[in-house]
Amino acid sequence: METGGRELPVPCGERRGKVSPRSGKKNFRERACRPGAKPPGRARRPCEEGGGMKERRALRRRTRWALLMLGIFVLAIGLSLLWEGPRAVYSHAVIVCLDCIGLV
Amino acid sequence: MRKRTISQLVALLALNPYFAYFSSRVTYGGDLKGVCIPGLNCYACPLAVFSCPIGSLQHSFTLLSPRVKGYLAEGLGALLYVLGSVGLVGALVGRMPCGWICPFGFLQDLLYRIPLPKLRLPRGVRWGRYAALVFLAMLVPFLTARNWFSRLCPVGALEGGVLLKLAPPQDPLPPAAWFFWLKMAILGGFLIWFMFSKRPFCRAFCPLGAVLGLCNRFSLYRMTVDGALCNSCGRCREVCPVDIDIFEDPGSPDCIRCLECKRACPQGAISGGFRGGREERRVSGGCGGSQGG
Repeated sequence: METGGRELPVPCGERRGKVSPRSGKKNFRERACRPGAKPPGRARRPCEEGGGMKERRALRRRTRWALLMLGIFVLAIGLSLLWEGPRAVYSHAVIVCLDCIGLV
Repeated sequence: MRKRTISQLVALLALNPYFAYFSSRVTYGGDLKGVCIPGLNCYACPLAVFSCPIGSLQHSFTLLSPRVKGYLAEGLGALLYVLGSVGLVGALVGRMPCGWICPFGFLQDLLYRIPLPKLRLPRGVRWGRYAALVFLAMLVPFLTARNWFSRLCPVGALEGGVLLKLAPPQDPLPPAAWFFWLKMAILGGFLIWFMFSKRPFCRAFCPLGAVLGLCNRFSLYRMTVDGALCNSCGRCREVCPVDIDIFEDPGSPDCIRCLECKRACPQGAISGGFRGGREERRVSGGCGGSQGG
């Protein structure tokens, strides 16, 4: 198995039942696997077969991000009303800035 | 006529419908001027009825500037309002307004159709628009309390400067300063460039494109390329108004979602929409091909 120049004491995926040295909890697992190492659990399937599922997961994640950002932007607009944001934009927009056009 | 051209024409008229100016010679001052539209359309244009988001963004930073005292709340309100309204559109459709609404993008599309030798721009030009956004539209207005992007903007020169010169308002205009002619020279340079390169302003200078482009990565409307169908023929790049390979990165911040590639793809591999049900595959494929949020 390719170790990427660093030797692993226990192969990835065989850490179940171990006790975490830091927290003392059981069933400690490493959070990330090295490239080439077999991941535990459902993701054990080969990369090519799991591609569609990974895509769907990425799609769901992206949709969640989009909805979160939509919420943030709606909140920003709502907050701007407290400080009369549209009024500030309006009062600037109705004046033709001759200085900006170079007509002053 | 193509759907996109019709949309661009309709948008041009919808954003600049105040033809009453020619009889009254007084610019529009109604409530719509408080609405930021997701396109670069100068609000100094006598026909414009909406406000430019980049002009408003600069204005909010001038209000927040340490040189201007007493307008902190208004500045914060304007900033949140502009970012909120532009971001809302971006989170929904990404950079689609650049391809379907923006009048300046339309002008660039039209001028590029003139049969002349064409120049390809390097991919790195995209950093120019981020620099324009951060420095000219945000940092410099904050430090100097002046709208520096607007002072150099060719859109303002065309829609505001030229039109106001041709049809002066009721109140007489002062004689043009040297700065006016500088703006005209910048506009002239861009107009010539538009004939040779695909949308150079959108790709290298537009701060609005920079903001909306960032939203391409997570927007609800997304482009997809079916890796099983795509044979990398390059037809999509030939027709792309911003000269990108969509199959390399369907969520690219450069993509203006014009859907020209979708129309041109002989394999039917490219699609775009809000749906998430259809399986997305990238040509790069495999595990590493998925795109994170």
